[in-house]
Amino acid sequence: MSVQIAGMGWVTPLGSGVEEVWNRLLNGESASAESLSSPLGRDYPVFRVPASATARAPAHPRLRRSSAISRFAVVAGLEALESAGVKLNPEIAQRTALVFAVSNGGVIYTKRFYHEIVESGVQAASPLLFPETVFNAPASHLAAILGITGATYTLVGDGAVGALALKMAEDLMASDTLDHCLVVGAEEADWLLCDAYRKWRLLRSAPPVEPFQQPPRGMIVSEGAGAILLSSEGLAAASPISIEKIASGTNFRKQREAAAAVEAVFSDLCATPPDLVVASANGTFIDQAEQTAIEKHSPNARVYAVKAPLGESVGASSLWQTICGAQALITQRLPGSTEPVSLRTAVVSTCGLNQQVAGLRLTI
Amino acid sequence: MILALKEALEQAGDSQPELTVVGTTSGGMTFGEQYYRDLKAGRRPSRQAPSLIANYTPQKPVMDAQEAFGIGAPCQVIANACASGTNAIGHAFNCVRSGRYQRVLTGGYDAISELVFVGFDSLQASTPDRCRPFDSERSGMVLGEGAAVLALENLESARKRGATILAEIIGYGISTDNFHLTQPDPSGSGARRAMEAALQSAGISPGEIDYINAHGTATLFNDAAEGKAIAELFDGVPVSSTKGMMGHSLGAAGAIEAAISILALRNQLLPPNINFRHGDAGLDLNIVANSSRAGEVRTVLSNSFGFGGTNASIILRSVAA
Repeated sequence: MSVQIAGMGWVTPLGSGVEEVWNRLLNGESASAESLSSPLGRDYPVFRVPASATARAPAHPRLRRSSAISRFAVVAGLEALESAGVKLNPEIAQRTALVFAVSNGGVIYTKRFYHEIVESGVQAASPLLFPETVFNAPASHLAAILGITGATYTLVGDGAVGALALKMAEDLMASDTLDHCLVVGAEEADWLLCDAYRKWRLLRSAPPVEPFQQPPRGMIVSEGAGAILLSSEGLAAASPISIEKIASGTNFRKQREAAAAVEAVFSDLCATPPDLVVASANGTFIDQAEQTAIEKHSPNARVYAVKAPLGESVGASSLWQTICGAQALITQRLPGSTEPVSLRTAVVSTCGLNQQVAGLRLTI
Repeated sequence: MILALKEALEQAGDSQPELTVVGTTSGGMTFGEQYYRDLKAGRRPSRQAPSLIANYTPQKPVMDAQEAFGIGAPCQVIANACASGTNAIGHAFNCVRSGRYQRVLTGGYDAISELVFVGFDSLQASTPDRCRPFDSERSGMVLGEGAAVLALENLESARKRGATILAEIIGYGISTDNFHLTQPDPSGSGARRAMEAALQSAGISPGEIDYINAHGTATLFNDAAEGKAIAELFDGVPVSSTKGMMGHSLGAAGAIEAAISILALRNQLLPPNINFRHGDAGLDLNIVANSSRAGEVRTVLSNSFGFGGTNASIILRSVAA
């Protein structure tokens, strides 16, 4: 089943707005690292979203105390709808589903809520914070702001969760009860995550991120959101980009098994070799797994790794990769290349850090 | 998850799924708690630290369970708060019904964690008394934990291979009520829309439902809103919440209650709503009070509602031999 991408939006460490950020990527820009200090005395470099990137967030009561994830998601989601020319009145909203992808969730509020329990006892637990620790709080806020009253799903997983969310959206769109499905992936950065990834030996101590370098030297945590609106044919402004196929992939148990899992996804998506591979390489074991699959299934494809300039945003990353693939096909340009390129198809490869692998194939 | 999956696979026989859809609310929160406590205590990172991080992620228990039985299907883990289990089953049902998948494993899991326990307590949603769903003097929920797994399969495929078919899922409805992050719309409109959508999906009328397994958390707000929606939509259908007996297992609840609904169909027995004394004034519900009740049960509706205004209903039916 082929589905149309009707609209796109994102919030990234290089700002918000698909055109604006894409142009910055084409110009070879990378996000600047900011230091996040852990109270335990260690500093971590992260790519954070600048405050200006969420300045367009609406002044809605739901956003007063919400997490950064919710603000990122709202700005990205609204951009996707606007770029598709879709206005959600109650009738259209009823026929619009929301699929929200996230990995770590509202980690800042969760940490704060639990910290008070650990430090001061259960009497200190805040009833204001607890609801924001729930994985689907950002999706709830987004649905309330957009007026979506039908299907709302939050999917949790690793860096592949955005692709799994697109697969779920494709399955949902098979129903004639839906006209649109908004897929949003989001994540926020926090020192606790950095600490965890460091102990997992996946974190780099300072930029740059160097995908496909051996040995892998680690990733930089980042934050933001990506949003993609899928629409039934004829219900949104004409879009040249189709998702030709989504491979919901498989799982791997140990890092050394990732190559076989990624290869299975490439095998599914590369019956005809694509012109472009948008890789999830981030400076970790993922790179080698993808490199092996690329060499076998699409040795002549151009390869772009967006996690070098934007970092590893986990829940948002698959959506960012898909937007990059779509923009490359639309503009016939690639970051790192000064000349126009000829691109008809792109494979987005999404290998997560914790066992999930998926991917999709775009065509123009 | 492993025990529930083992039992489901043993019953289903040869049933390698193409997809797994599972609900949870807090995933491996207990591992996250341990990690944070170690960190705050200044304990040196142990060799266990990476596994605590890996096990914290909600997909890990599902993939571990799959691995134990040689299943490599992709996992979609739905975290729609307390509606997660029913949402997972409902989405899995739609995947099979659409013809896009033949076999899908589905269900839900959750384990009690300190963070979640204290969280519900901070909201005054937990009771120091007994859990009394739909009772006028109800004062909140008792948390539970567990897992349930259902092996869904296209009816024709299941019949062809001679599988024992436990029940048929015939309808699923989902709605989002944007009233409040933690409270349902008091009018019951969100719950009502989910039940109406499930009936429409099943192509049946409210009069064809023989029993409702309610969400019935025994919180003031849920039971009032759900009770109102049931009373408006149905005419005297027997209703019970089994959370008085099982507790509220959050992401597992919808899956566990789907299993209970199937048992009601297979045993022609309505499970009781225990600890019930008096219903809310003005709310006309046919509560299966305190003792199970024999009855002719062909079609059951099961509800789950959660934080974020997520509402889900599924309809299950007996399968003729």
